[in-house]
Amino acid sequence: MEKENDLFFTILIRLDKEEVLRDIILIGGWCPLVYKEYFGNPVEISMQRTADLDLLVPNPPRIHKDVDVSLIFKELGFDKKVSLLDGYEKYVHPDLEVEFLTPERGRGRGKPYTIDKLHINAQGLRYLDLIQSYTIKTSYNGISINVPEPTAYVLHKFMVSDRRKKPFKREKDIETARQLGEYLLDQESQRNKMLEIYLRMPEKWKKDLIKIVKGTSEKIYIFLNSTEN
Amino acid sequence: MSIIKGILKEELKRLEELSAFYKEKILEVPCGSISVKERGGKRYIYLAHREDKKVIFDYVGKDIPEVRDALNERMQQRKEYQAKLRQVKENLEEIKRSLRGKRK
Repeated sequence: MEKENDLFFTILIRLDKEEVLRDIILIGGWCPLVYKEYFGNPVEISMQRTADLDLLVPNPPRIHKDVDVSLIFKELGFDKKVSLLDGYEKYVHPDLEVEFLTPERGRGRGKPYTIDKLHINAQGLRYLDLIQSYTIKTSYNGISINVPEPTAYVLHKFMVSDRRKKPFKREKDIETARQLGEYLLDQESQRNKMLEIYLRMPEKWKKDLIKIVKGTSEKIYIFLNSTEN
Repeated sequence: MSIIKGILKEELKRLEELSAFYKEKILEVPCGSISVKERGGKRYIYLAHREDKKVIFDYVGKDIPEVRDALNERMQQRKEYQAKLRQVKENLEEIKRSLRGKRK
C-alpha cells in the first residue's frame, strides 16, 4: 500500500495548495487512516482500505474558488474515465481511483451533478447528508482536512451496508463500522456525539439502523437501544 | 469469501478494466516515429512504423511547427499510456500472486 499512500498524500497536498480541500470532505475507505492519526494511532482502528478514494462535494456546493480539479488530476497522472451509460466520471490511475460524490436530493436524478467551479461532475448518493451534516476539520500529516465525525462515519457505514449488493462489501462495511464504533464507545465525548447524531436521525433511519446493528454489534446495539428508553 | 479476499478480487477486476481502458487509449493514438522528408524543396512529416519487415510511411502533413508539436504531444501521450499499462500489469501480477497465496 506504500505507493497508494504516497499518491493519496500527493493528492491531498495538491488539493490543499489549490484551496480545494477546505471545501470538500474526504469520505469512504480512506477515512480510517485519518482517524488513526486523529486518535493517536490506536491498534483498534484498521488500516484496511481499497483503491477507491471518495471525495464528497457538499450539496449545495459551497466552493469559494474556481479551480480546474480535472486538470490537477491530469497533472498527477490520472485519466478521466466517463461512463457512456450515465455520464458519471472518475479519475483513474494504476494505483488509485478517485470519485466525487454528493448527497442525492429529492427523487434522485439518475445523472451526475455538475460542479462548475471545480470543473468536475459528482455522483449523487443517498444517506450522504448524514456525513455532510457532521464533519470535523483535522490534520493528517500536517495537512488540514475535512472528514466526517467518526461517529457519523460509523452510523453511515452501518446504514449503507444494507444497500450493498456484494456480500463481501456488506461484510467489510459492517466490520469497519463495528471495529471503529466499539472503539469510539469507550470515549465519553464520542459516546455523546454518537447519541446526538442518532437522536437527530429520521425515525425510519433509526429503525433501519437498529435492525442492522442488532445482529452485528452487541455493544453498539445496547448503547443505541438504551437511548430509546 | 473473506473480506481481504473480496478486496483483492475487487482490485483484480478494477485493474483488468483499467488495462482494457489503457489499451483502448493506446489504439486511439498514432504509433510510429516522426520522419521528415524533403520533396521539391519543401518538408513534409510522415509517421514511420514497421509492418513485418517493411517500414511504412504514413503522410501527416506539411512540416509546420503546429503539426509537429501536436504530433509530438500525441506520441508523448502514447508513451505515457504505455507506461501506465506496464504499471497496471505489474499491479495485476502482484494481486494474482496474493490471491494464489491465499488459496494455499
